[in-house]
Amino acid sequence: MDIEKILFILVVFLYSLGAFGIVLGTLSMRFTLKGLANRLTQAGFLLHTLLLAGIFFQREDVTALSAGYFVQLLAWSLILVYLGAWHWLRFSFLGLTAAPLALLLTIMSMRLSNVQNLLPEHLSALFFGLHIWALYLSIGLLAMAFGAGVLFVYTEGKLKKKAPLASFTKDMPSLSTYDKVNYAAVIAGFPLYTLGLMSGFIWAPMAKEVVENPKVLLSLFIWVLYAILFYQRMAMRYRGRKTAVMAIAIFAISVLSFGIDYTVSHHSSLLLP
Amino acid sequence: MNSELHLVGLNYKTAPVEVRERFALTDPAILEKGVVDLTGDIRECMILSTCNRVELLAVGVGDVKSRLLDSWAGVRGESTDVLQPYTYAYRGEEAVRHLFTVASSLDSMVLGEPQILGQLKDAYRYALEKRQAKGILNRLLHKAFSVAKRVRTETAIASSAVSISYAAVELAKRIFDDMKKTHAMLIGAGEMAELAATHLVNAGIASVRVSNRTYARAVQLARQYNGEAVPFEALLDHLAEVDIVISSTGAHEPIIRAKDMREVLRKRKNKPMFFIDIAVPRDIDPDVNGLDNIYLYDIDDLKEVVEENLAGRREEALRGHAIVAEETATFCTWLDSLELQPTIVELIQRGDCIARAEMERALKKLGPLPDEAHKVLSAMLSSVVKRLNHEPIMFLKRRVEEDDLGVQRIVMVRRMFNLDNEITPDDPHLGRGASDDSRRK
Repeated sequence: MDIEKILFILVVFLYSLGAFGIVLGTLSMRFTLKGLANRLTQAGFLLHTLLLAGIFFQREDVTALSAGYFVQLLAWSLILVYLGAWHWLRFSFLGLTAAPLALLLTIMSMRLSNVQNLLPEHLSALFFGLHIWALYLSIGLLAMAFGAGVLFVYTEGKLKKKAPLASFTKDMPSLSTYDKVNYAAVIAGFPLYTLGLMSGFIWAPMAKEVVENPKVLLSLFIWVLYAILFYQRMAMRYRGRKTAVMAIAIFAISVLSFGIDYTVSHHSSLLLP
Repeated sequence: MNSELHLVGLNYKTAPVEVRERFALTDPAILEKGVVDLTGDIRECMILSTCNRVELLAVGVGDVKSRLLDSWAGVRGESTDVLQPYTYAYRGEEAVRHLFTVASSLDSMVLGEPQILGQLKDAYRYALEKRQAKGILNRLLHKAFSVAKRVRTETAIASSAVSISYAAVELAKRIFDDMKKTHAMLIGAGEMAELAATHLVNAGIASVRVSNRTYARAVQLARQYNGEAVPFEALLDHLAEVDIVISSTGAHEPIIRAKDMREVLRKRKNKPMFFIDIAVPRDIDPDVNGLDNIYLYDIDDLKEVVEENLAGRREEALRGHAIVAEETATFCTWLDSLELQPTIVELIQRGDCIARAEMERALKKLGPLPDEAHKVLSAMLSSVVKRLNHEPIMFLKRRVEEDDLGVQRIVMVRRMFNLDNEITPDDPHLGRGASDDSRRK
């Protein structure tokens, strides 16, 4: 077994333990378990960084990277955003979304490990610098807004109906905190998504990509929704339930779009963002 | 005959308030004179008297229960026959379990309420000052404090609010992330509303505004919270600047309506608001709760929250009782060790253990020695240990036979030689509870 495979198995193992521990630790209010699960996720993230960097530098150029690599990169970005939020803002609750999603993506990447993308060599720098990083980070931020949104809708619904909250929510943040996460994710995420999408549009015709493919249309649709949410937050000063539901919907459509690509397509370009 | 722990008492479950008043032991004059005479068979004693319970805890031999009841009824000028039907009595392990249960607030009228632990600490402090708490009670009470702390930290017995005013504050914390940045307004006056405002101030809110139909009353209340008085007519103008509103007026019609709040929300840029309506009839139109970013709780909603929290506490109490059972067993094992023979055995074993460790260290420095030299050294150390232990053991045996302070002497020797492996506290009296906790961590 080569070192890449061993590292990959270790990453999946650590992400699995981390995701399971974060969910179980949060729901059962076992803070030691949650702390340990966070450490395991961090360890998995470090190994994942090594694995992805190793693959990147081993290949001659970006065009030699498989579609599975990009799916792994998306998983890695989710954990990066989560760990950043956890480290600087102490928002550990975002692990409830980020850790299981990253695990799922990492496992899914296995199916695409032999599918090559069609990126021309001379565009690889632009592709990585703008398209991939901007888009993946924005999706990571969207995942954050999604996690905060789900918790907001749940807590807000219970408060409105005066229903008892689940015991695990006792140590969860307040509605204002969830709303702040939504705000930060939208304010930072939308410009990044726009940048990523625009760079993709510049790249696609040059790469003789099929412009009218459903992925592009869905991406545009997501961008329009994202723009509406951005406008609501910035200009109309919307906050609370409306923006939380919107963030959940945008993320759900993004996941749906990815899911459609994953299940029906064998064409690598569709699996790229 | 060995001393035993005894506890007699009455509480809100066994005696109505009239009886509890008649037999309360809170009068300083009575306590100063001493309720129980410690010159007889009772060697240690402590009295806990609160509005919900009166309990006498004692260490002694013979019919301690009768003596406690007689003394108690006597100082209150009543007959024992009147008192006895309302009381309960425990001894040994049952007494320990009951005390731990009381300290952990598992026997309180409001499960998990924190006051009982403070009252128990005060009672213990008083007994210490009067030299009525000695070896066994010292240990027992410190253990009770650490058990109470364990129950509080390992269960959620005290994590939810069980008073209406406090429940309101807990709900506010679910909405706002930083209480220090929130502003509250109190509309009208009423005991419960004022209590809720006091809880909010204690939670650290930035400011309080008070509005009342009688402006002078508003000024008076505002002064109390170091806040600002608002004329009743200008109420709606100020709403946009506050996050929490507690309303408790005697108005017959709602004073805040949903249509008013739409404009307020626009001015606030949709920042969330929390309304606590304690008034009956209600002051705030229930439709207000239907608006985005506004949360309205009336008195019935708050009562329901309290009921749910109480049910949660009852579930947590089961886990608390399991901790109490575990700690009771541990304490009773220690109590059993207060017999003379186990202490002598442990004393000798400890000496042997130290001697063996020291010999191994010395042998490492000396290098290999002939077997004969090894045997001589070993015999010498054993002899030193035996000789050193001989006098303390003889002293203990004599004292246990001669006077009734044997248990105290055993406790003293156990502590002197640290046979229970305690961490030495900075404060010999009140530090031991903390040591227990830190050891557990």
